[in-house]
Amino acid sequence: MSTDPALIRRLARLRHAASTRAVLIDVAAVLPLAAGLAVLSFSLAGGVPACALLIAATLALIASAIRHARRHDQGWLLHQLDAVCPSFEDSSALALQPEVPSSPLAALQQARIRNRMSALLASAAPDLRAPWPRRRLQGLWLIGLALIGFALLLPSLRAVLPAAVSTATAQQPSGQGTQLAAIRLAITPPAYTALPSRRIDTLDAKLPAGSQIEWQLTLDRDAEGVALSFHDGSRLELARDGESWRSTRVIDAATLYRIELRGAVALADDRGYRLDVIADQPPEIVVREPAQTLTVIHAAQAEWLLSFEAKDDYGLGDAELSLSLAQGAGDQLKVTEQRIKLEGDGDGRSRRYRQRLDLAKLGYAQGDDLIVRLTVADRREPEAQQTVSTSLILRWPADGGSLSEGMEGLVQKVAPAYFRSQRQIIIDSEALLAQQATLSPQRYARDADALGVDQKILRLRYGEFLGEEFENGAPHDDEHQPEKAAPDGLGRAEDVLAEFGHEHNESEAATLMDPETKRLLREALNEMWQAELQLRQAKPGEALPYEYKALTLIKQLQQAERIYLARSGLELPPFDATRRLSGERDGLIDRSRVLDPRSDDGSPLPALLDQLNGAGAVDLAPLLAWVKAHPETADPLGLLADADSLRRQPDCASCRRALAARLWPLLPAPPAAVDARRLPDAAGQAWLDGLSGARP
Amino acid sequence: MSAVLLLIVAATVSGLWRARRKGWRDPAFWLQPFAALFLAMTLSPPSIPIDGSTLTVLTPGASPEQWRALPWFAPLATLPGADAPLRADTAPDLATALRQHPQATALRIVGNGLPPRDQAAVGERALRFDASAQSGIVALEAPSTAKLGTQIVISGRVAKPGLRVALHDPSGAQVDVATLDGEGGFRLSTIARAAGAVQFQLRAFDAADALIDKAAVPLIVTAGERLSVRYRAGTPDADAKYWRRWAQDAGLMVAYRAGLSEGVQLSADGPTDPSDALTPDVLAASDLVVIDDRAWLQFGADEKAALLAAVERGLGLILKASGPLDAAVAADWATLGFATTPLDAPASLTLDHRLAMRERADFTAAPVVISDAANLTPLLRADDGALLAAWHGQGAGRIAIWRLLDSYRLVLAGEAARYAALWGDTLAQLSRPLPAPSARPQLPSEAWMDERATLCGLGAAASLLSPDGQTQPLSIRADGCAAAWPGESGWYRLQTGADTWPMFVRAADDARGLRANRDRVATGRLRREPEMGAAPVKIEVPLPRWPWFFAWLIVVSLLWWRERR
Repeated sequence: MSTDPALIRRLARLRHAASTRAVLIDVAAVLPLAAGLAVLSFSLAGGVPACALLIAATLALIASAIRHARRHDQGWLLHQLDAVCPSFEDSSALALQPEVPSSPLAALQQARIRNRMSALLASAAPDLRAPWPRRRLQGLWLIGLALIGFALLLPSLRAVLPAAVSTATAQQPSGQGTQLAAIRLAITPPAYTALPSRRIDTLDAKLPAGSQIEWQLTLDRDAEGVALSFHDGSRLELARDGESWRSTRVIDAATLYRIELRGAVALADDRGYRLDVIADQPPEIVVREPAQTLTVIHAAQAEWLLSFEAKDDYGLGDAELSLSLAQGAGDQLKVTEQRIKLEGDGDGRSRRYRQRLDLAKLGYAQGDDLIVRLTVADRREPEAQQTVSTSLILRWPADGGSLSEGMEGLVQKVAPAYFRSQRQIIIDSEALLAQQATLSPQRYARDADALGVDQKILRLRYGEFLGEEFENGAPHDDEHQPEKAAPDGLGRAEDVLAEFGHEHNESEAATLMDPETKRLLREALNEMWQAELQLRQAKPGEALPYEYKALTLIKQLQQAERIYLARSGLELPPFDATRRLSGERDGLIDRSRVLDPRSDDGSPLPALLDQLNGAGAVDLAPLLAWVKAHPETADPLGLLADADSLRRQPDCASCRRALAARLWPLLPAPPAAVDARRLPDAAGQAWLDGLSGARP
Repeated sequence: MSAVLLLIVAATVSGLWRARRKGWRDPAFWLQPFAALFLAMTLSPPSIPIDGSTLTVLTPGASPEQWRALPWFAPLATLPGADAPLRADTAPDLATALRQHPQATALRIVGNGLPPRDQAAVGERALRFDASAQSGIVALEAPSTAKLGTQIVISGRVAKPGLRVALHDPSGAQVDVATLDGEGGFRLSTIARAAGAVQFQLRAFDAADALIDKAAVPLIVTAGERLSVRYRAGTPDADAKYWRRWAQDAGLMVAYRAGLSEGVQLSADGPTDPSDALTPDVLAASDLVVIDDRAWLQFGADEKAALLAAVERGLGLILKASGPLDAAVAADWATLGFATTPLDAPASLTLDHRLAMRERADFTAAPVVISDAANLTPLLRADDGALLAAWHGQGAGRIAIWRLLDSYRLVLAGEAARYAALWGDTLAQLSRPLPAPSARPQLPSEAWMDERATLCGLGAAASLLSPDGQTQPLSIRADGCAAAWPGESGWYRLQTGADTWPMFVRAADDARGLRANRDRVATGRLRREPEMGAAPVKIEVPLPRWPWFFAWLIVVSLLWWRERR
């Protein structure tokens, strides 16, 4: 009879349970200690030692698990069974022997014990697992938790401890500078940027313009006051808050600051710290459709499709499409404006705007230009930045303006002539007179009439200078002016007219000219009026004298204008006409004049560079003034920071070199200097003498 | 050693005796003698006779291909910085290597060549040099001193993989860039903006835009000389206007006089001397006189005589042709050594090559051809080779003829620096010679950190001030030379008495190509053929130990494995 397999299995389970319990006890004992030490070493020395510690603990546990598995073997089991169950009569080893013993007594005992063993293990298996060492585990867990707690409290303890120590060390003046025990800068970008706040632990920072910074500094000793001194001269006092010092400021422009202490030794690292600013960029607009700025309408086009894309670094605001419809040509140009608010699709930072313009609804007709611009704002506060797109023009060419289908918009047959000049009218009138024989009377009359119209347009244009009303062709100054008292002087005409309450003239235009000019202009207009009269009656020959007279008057007007302008500036030297062309040379003298010295911009930088290259003291005040006067310098903060560090450590050779290197591109271009020929030395002179045949 | 061998033999015999019952067939028996043999070989490797007369020395830059091609059994030494195989003996310098191989009568140098430290150790030995391929910036031609505000031209050559060279100013900003020509040559220029010792940097890039070499370009910028110039023109013209502007800005004292009409003159005499005539006293105080042909015509004979006498004593004279020359003037100038032939019209020409212009610029020259006489030194030639200016010595002075009419166009085109360089060079060649500055010490033209630098021409006492301000007194030999071993890179200052001389020391990794090229050239000069019939020197060289050790290890491992089984 062999051993019952079920029995073997039950015994194996017992053994397994016991070894598992032993491993669990080990884990429970090691875990709190290992965790506690790991957290502590993490907070003290960083992640690497903590990981090493955890790995070592794991390896130890694995080793102990292997040891436990080895220890809880068959022999151990039999020993335990014999110890726990007296009913096995110290014969469990016999019971588990696979072969039947030779002695009948032993065989009998084996059978008995086997039966007992099966019964016992089936009904109430003995618990061979080691009991939990409760008290010991409790102690270990307490120690572990205490370690973790200590590690977590350590940063705040650190802040407290040196303060406690500093009261002791404050009496002994130490040569070492104050250290910053904790640095914390909370940067809150402006709300419209939708950027998250962040905290950094350095004093240099790069932040969006308009951000608010909160400094929270903890010193390693006590001080009476802490202030931030900015390079523009402003100061920010930090307020005490427990052990730390804090205050806030909004940073709009890049700046450099230093930490100044009162009642404590200056900082060990007493340099300037930089706050660089990321400026908010205005939105960018890309026109997707139409592809070119000038579009010529094609037949049967009823609408115009526009498509824009806009991008902004923080978010787009309102978008507005402005439409300008220019109707008519030349002086008759009429512009109507219209604005449409657009809602694009896309996210806050990049949007696409599409708009379909119904041309008929806008009143767009032949000869019109439709000019469209998109204005997009961003969300900057307090005031948004706006970007305007390029102007997009839709052109419907006037009739006959274009040559052919294929050349639309490129070539125009006639240049837009707004009005003919007086000289042109004269030339045309003479040409018309010469052609009189060849032309039919109707054609002659029509051409003369057209010239008359041109003459009218020109007269009206000149009339505008006099402030005449545009619609009314005839100047009717005569109706009113003679009756009134003549104005006393320049600029009094306005008062007179205002007094009598009948003002045809535009006051601004009219008062710009002196009475003489006005008179000339009025005469010219009268001549033009007469010329138009003759032209309209198809008598260009009779119109010509008036035209010539008008031209002469206009020329006089223009020259009068020139003299008037020149008179205010140049003081010509008196001219001695009697000596002119006489060949008289007496009294003429040589002009002696030395060139003006070079217009030096007075830059202090070359002198400063000279000082930096030398070994002596460096006067940095001119540099600071120069930087203030030249805000366009590429990196003024870097320059100031280098100057500041040199000021703090005047004998720092590398600081000198760094500042000298920074100055190089800012130096004014010097005038080229000249080298001179050098006398040869004795040997060279002897050689030259030998060459020229002289014997030494 | 023999005791150890005896011990091995005894141990082998006893091992064989103990294993004898296993039989001859058993590997454990017959592997034992082999193990013993290999152990003995490892402990005292056998020697083979080789020719030891040539010592191969690996220097920095020796490529693996080069040293793999070397014969296996030959004396091999390696100098610091060289990448070398294990079998080479490491030596701190060549002298040590030669002491390690006293039989060597010839040297074979592989790599960039011997540094200056080792060149003297070669002695009378025959030398063969297998130079490695050039790399980086191999040639650099840059002025060591420059005048303030002048154009500095830096040229050189970069070895093959290079594509692009950039020049960076002392602030690190790139100021010029050039693509290499077919031979790798380049030419860069910039302006000396400030007086003092400054350091530009040259960087060479390859096609992948990776930095392959960099070299500092040290430059000492000095202020210019205050020359005194007298300018006589027959009439005011644009060239003189811009010339005066430049000359005054450059710090020259210019006394200018131009005729306006008969008896009426525009004069702008310098504040020092308002006198009219060119008297001997006035000329003695001047360094240069510029006269155009129309002003020459108005000169009296005594003035001309005074002028030529002054030239004999060192005065510089520029004769400017401003148009077709009057016959009298042409005759006068021909007696001065400038034979001319008239032309029909002013000549149009370009100076792009001479001025290193990036864009083409046209100039005009007076309608006069200067005959190319043998005694004339050309000063300025047009791109087509026409002579525009030339000079010859006359006593201690120099006389030049000048026919370029409109050099001021350079200023109008925004090339004021090139204009200044053109005239600065001209004046530097023609003006009255000034006494040479006091004898300056001879400083090394190129000095590297951690290399011996030799300074000569020192007085009784001198000290070297490092960039960080450490003073290091020099011990000067009787011949006035001293050596220094700079430990930092940057501008050192040599102080001799009251004088201070800047000296630039390159960083160890700076201008590697230049240093390699310097060593390559110097080592090439040391080449010497071996003497005919020189008998080879037989030396016994022990074989390396490690193959025996591995053989022993394998045998012992087999034995151990047999034992365990």
